Amino acid sequence: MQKELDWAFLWKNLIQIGTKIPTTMYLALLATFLGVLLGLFIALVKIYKVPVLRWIATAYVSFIRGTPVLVQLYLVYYGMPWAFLTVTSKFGLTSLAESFNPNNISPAFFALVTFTMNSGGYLSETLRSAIESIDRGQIEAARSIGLTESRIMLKIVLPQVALSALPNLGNSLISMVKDTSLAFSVMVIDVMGAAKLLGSKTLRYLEIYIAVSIVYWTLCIFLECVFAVVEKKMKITKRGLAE
Amino acid sequence: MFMIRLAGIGKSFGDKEVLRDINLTVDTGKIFAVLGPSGSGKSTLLRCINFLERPTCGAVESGGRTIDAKTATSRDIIFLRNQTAMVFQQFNLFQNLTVTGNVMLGLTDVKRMDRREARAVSLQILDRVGLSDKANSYPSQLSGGQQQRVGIARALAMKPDVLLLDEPTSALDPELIEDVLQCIIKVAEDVNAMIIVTHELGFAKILADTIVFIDNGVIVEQTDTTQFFQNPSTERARDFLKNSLRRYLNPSETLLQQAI
Repeated sequence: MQKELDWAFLWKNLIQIGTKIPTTMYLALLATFLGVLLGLFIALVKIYKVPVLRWIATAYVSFIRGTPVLVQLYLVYYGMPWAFLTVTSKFGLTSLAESFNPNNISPAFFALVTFTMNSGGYLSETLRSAIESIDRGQIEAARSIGLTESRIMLKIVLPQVALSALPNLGNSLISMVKDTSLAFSVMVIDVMGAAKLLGSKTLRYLEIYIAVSIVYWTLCIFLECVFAVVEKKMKITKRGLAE
Repeated sequence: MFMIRLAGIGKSFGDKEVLRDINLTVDTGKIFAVLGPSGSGKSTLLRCINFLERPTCGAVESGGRTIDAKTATSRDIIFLRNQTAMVFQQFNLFQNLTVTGNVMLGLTDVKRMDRREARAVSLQILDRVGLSDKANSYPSQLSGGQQQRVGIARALAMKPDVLLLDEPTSALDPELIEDVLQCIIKVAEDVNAMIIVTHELGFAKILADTIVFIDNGVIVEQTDTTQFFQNPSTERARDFLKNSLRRYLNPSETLLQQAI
């Protein structure tokens, strides 16, 4: 006979899964934040056409966009310790290699590195177009009163980029929350990780996956609301009510 | 004593030569108006003075230094920009800053003035251009005329040796032009020297000491204002004045003909 859905069981496990929301949010928020910094760096390299670096940046973005996150996650998870050990042994830093065992590093660290690299690649294009959309006239005006290029970036360009890129950043963060569900593949116990463990323990996978989908959905709706409020607030203070 | 001197300034965009051998000396207290048909290189000339367009050749002398177009470093260019300030046709206000923020930025970030002092100075200048009540507004909340007066205040705050104005009324609705022109006339007393590119002949006539008439990238004539309007010495200047006058008296001749 077909088993009926056990709602009480679903609810109990939903709460259980919910306790891992901080891990998921921590990963997603930190990776997006660091991704913005990395993306900004890549965008500036491309805008200022920095020799050599710009070719690396182009290849990097192409790689990030052209490979699945899951593959990137595995590459970082297996590749970073290898690279670390190779470099330290090559330069004869054996004591460093011995005292610092990369296998002891928390898997969450590898997940964070991967998601940062991934969002940085994607956000670099968003940020580049936002920077380039700032009207040239304002930059000329800033030059005309003697401001240096870095001051202009800091005081005029970036504040406006933050405003115009905000909807995109919101979307990126929401995608990131969902992407972090892959982190369980390298044994990070996040929302998805908790669900998988509960599933294999109870063997009631359907209820567990319904519960985990509710958790993710609620999180994303919550984030959408937060971004809507922030955007509205920034529009009011930055541009005035007249618009 | 001169405030700024241009020596042999030339500018080419690719093969196209826009300015050729421009020599100009603006003395302290003088107001120069640059007139000429559209496309003659007036705006480019102005933008070459503060290196918003880097001249192809020649030098700009100001504040006791000579900045050569061929060898100027970014530090030289900043120096030159500290001697000058510019008012733009499209206002170019910083959209992320309030009116006061726009005026203050150069004081705090270029002149390293203390914030409180910078604010006080800015409010004083805003009062001078009649915008004290808009101090906390954002540019998007202002009319074109008000925005341009903020642009003027922002430039004045830098206390430049030379104030450069690039067609300051060309982007304004006709009923707002007067307002901005009055403002420029008022602040002209505060500045050391001024170079204004304009299409408003009447305005140039009242305000300027000297008219620089430019056509096809060369200075055709540089004369005292009264003499320029009464009796220009070149044929090209005479034609220019005649055409401008005809357009002024009969602005919609062709439109009227089409209507009939």
